[in-house]
Amino acid sequence: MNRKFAVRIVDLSLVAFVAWFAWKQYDQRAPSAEPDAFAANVELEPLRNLAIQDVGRIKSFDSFARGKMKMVGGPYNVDGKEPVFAYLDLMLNPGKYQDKAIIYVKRAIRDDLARAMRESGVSSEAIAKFVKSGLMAPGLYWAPAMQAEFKRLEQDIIRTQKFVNFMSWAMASADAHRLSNDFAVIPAPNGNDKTPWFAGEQLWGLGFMQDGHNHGNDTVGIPGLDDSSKANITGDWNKLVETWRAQDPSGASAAIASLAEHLKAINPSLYPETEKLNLESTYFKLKAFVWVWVVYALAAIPLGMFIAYRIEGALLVGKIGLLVAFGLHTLAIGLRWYISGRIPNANMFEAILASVWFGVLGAFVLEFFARKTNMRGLFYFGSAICAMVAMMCQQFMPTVLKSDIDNVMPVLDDMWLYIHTNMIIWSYALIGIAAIIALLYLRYRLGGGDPSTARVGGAGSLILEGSTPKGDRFLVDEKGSTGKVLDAATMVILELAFVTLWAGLVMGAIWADHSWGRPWGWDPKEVFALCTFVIFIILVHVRIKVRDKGLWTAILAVVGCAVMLFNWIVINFKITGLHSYA
Amino acid sequence: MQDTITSARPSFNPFRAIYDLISSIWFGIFMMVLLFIYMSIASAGILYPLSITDPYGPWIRWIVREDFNKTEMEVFAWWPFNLLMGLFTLNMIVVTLRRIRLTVLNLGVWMIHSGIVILTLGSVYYFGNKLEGDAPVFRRSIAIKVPGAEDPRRMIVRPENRAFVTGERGEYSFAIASINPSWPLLSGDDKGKTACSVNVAVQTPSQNFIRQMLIGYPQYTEDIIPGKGRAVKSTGKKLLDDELELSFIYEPQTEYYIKDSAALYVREVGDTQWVERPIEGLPHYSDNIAQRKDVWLTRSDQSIDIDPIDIVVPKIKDNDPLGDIGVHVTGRLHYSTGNETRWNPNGNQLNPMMKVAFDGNGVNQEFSLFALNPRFGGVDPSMITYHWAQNEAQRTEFGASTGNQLTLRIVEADKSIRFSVEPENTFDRNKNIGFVEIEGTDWSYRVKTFHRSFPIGEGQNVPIVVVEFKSPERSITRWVTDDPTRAQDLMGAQKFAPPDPAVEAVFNPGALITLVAGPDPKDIDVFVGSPDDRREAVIGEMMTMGSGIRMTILESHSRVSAETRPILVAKRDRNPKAENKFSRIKVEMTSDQWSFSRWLPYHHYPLVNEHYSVPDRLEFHYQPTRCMLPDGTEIEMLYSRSRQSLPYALALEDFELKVHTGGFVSGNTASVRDFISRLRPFEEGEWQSEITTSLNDPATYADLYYFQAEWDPGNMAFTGLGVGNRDGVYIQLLGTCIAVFGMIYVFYIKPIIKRRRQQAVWAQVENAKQSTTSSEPITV
Repeated sequence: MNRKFAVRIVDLSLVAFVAWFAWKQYDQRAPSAEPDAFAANVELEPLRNLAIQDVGRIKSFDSFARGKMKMVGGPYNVDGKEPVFAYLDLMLNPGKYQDKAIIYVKRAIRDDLARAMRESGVSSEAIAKFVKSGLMAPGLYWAPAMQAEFKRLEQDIIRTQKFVNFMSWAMASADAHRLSNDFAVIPAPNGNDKTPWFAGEQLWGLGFMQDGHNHGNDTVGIPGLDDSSKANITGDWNKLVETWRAQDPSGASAAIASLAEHLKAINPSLYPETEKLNLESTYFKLKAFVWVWVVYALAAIPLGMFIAYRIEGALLVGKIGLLVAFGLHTLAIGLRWYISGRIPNANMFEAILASVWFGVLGAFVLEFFARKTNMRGLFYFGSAICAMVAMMCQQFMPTVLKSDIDNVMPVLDDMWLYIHTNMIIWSYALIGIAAIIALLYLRYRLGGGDPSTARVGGAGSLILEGSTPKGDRFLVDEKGSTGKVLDAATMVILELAFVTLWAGLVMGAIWADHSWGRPWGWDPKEVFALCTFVIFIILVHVRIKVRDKGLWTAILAVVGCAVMLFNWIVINFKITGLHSYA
Repeated sequence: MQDTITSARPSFNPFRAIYDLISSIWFGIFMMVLLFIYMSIASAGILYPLSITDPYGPWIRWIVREDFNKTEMEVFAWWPFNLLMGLFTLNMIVVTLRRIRLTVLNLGVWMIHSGIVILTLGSVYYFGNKLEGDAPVFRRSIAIKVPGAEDPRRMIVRPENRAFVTGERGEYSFAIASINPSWPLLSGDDKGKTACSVNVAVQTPSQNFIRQMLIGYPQYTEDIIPGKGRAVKSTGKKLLDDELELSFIYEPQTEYYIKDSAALYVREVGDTQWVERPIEGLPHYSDNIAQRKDVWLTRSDQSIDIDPIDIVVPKIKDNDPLGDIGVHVTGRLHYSTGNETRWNPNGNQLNPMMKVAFDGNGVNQEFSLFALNPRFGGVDPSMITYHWAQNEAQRTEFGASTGNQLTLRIVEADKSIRFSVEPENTFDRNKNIGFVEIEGTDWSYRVKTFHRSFPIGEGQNVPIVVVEFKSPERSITRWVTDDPTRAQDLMGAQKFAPPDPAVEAVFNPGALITLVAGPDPKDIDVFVGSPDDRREAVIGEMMTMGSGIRMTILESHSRVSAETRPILVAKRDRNPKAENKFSRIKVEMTSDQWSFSRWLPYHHYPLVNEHYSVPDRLEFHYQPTRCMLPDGTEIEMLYSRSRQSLPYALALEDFELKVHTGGFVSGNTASVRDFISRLRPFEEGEWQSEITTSLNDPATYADLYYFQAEWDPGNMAFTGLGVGNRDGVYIQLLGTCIAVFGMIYVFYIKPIIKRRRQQAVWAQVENAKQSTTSSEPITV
């Protein structure tokens, strides 16, 4: 009776958690934008695929604007507008946004700022909105009470300074002058691929900010730009500014189309292919494929049903769903690789994406070896859940896991980025999958499952299965104990994780030896990877000694996963070490 | 009951018990749990949210190892960790030997365990011998040869560096005006390449010009005349002064500096070589003071522990100029921004001090004024002066000096006039202020320039008035300062002559504002602009001074005494990235009847002199402390890190930056691909061929390992090399690889062998069954 009650509690709290999470995401969705005839009718397509130079990269303007606007609004679109429109509107009509809540403030200082807002006479309704969403109007930034509060928070270097800096950075990113300075869309007329591009500011000068027209005196000029090109793009620009401010969609669309054509013509040899720019815009328009977690979730449901009720059809559906999800996942990574021109595992966003990709790939391989056994479906299920959780993190924590494509840090630009990093993140995915299967085991035991364990766990159980008619049969025997199967499957994954984690550590040491001049420097990231490994050594030896092997294996697999996550999340974000970039 | 002799009851054998304990797997598991806990806390410390109810709020990280003054490397070389590792390794060896038979099936476990033992032994050797440090190598110096000067002078190429040389023709001055690391070559065979260009501002006794020099291309050196462009255009010659030779030479580095170490460097003033005294056991993180009044605190709620240290710093070299004077380090501050003098109002001697604040018109400043020591507060005395009056008569007298006075005298006619000069009534072409007649003479005058504080070099500023005198026969342009002996007449372009005795000009700069107090320090008079504008001031009340500026007297005391102490910055205001770069140590020296005690600031490198100091780089800060020994020798001291000699001098041939599309964007490493240093070692009397180090591609030369660690983003004037050894690294690698193979063997090969054996045995059984009806049981 008691046991059944406990099982109910566990199951219900899981359901409650999922419901609460879904509600929270719904509750914190972006404020809906007012319908705007101009925004709806202006044709931004040519602008989206304009090439622009950002630090060390040529990207599509769409991708660029997305990154810049994320700095302003954090997880929200600026004023609910799509980034390309918001970028132009902030640049050309800055006054419009002074009183709109668009600047994102991190939670840690919201309460302090709310107090200062009250002093500045902001309505309590607006303050409540701010505390919830974190969005603040730029006009409020300069209120004396707010300035005093910023100053106070800034002085505390350890606790609050970085949050104020984050907000000031958002303010700076919304500044019209800055946006105009960063608008580097003019390729150097006689330049090579190392020559910086020019911002429109350089040609049109600051004058346009006041009345929308080029004042010849203000312009610095662009060396090598011939007069007709200059006249063309200046004319297009002036027209765009004029029509944009007049909210004339057809005029603005025409100006945009013409500007895009004229910019391409300045130095065609430097201009990237339209297809590639288009692809980059499309990639971001598809939200970097982070929504694929839904497909993983849809695949996980029938897979779970197969595991619980052994419905063969569910396995087939699940397998197909997983294949679709994995295909999209692969496409996402492939596109990112092509667009960035480098292997996509150089920042946190990419590392997570690649990690679970390796996890799912590994699951397909393992399922092949386990295809005739009762382990079937377990690896699919574990990897689907891991991939789903990872990609949910990407979708719901966009300020932490930034999807922007940047160049790889110079110190990472090495062959070992391919080897060490992939080996480590693969092991992390395996640790995650093992923990999922271990949790299934714990749930099974909680529900009164029998404590018998696989005598030989892991790959050994697959290899020795049915070696002799009198040997272990639980993997193929229809009436085989679920506990034994789950235990053996956990070990299959853990053994792989054990080897890959150790190998990854060794490879990291080899890389560190020639990159930083020492193989091991007790850097926190190194230490916690070793700590994760220590948990698994403990697991292997505890398994030898204890009677209830399955229970302890499952518990330690979960602990190992917790240490791995601590390393990946807390060490990365709270403790800076040499490994602070990934 | 029967008396029995207990027999066969084993007696307790402690050695046996320890042996059993050490060969128990549980003991090993326990050790691993302890190692896990130790490593976690030693590395990350303890993390917790500031407020339990607000997990999204800021988190606090308690770095436990710092409370024990251990660096990351030290906390993992500390005895508790070594003890745990020792017991763990011992356990592993004993268990393997005693409990695991070396069979084909157990080969994997044996490999893993022996691999880890080899790794541990390799690590003992590696960490025991590890040397890790860094060395900055400047790119070039410029050798300056001036005609008539004896040896060529060396000037390091770094921004703002200067050199002064005296030759047979007079004084020369040289300054690095700019460095352009990627100057495009526009002509000749090298067109399209870039080189590092250095512009030197040259002042010879006869002319001023810029000499542009390109590293690696001496043939392209040429002079540029300011405002006119390349010399070759106007004079037909590339060099304006052929006799002046400037050429690039290497600036080799001969030593490197050990990470996290500490040393005191001493030398006699005038010497170039530092003599090192290592400081062993200096704390890395703590503030160590003997008494609360050793420091000033920055926050009122700042707490500080009294935790004194006393580290003897012994002499290790015979040429140590301190000889046998005992040196102790008796204090350490982890984060101090410098010394500050604060004023105690209850001193014994008369020393009137007033604190005033100015604001308005973009000004917001506080000054301390000292009546008896006018220059002390760093205030320009032509702006504001403070006088201490014994009586009322003195008050008026001091007040009368308010405002400047220019006295002009025509000697022949013995006529003089006196007036005050304002910047507004000086000569100005637009305002057309013309000559003014001096009555009773045939002379007239006009004030051409008035400068309240004109820089005359070496950081000195003086007030200057330029007056033109005109008579029907001639005119005289007189430069007058507050010091009458410095008056001179301008005789044409930049040529001066002693003053013409026909006219005299005396300038008394006075002050814009005169404050007079005394004998009661609260009884204050303020004179603004002239002796006639006299007001009474009340402490704490704001006064309007004109042109939008307001003044408030904050404090006024008659007897203040100075106390100078280092500032100790509160922990929460410290920038964690600064590490120990703001640290200070207190050095005390004693011998008979003599003692010396001073706080010395940290130096990242014991630089030879100020020419190596790079502006705005904390690592290249240079501020030695001077001290007079009892025998009258003057010495310099500097607190820095311990050094090791490189086996050879190392010069930087070239530093190259590889960039992504669009070139280097300042402050953003995402625009950089790679940093490349080309180095040349000096051995056997000559410069050897180049060795190259870049990111992820270190160079090895004569047992030392060089990797690219730092760089100078502004000017690329130097490279920062990481230097280290790596003894034992291959033993470590061997251990880890054996363990990898062991793991693969245990998990994947062992079951296959087992399966084959089981099947073989089963086949035997089956065969036996077929051949004989009654088979003997065979156990598997």
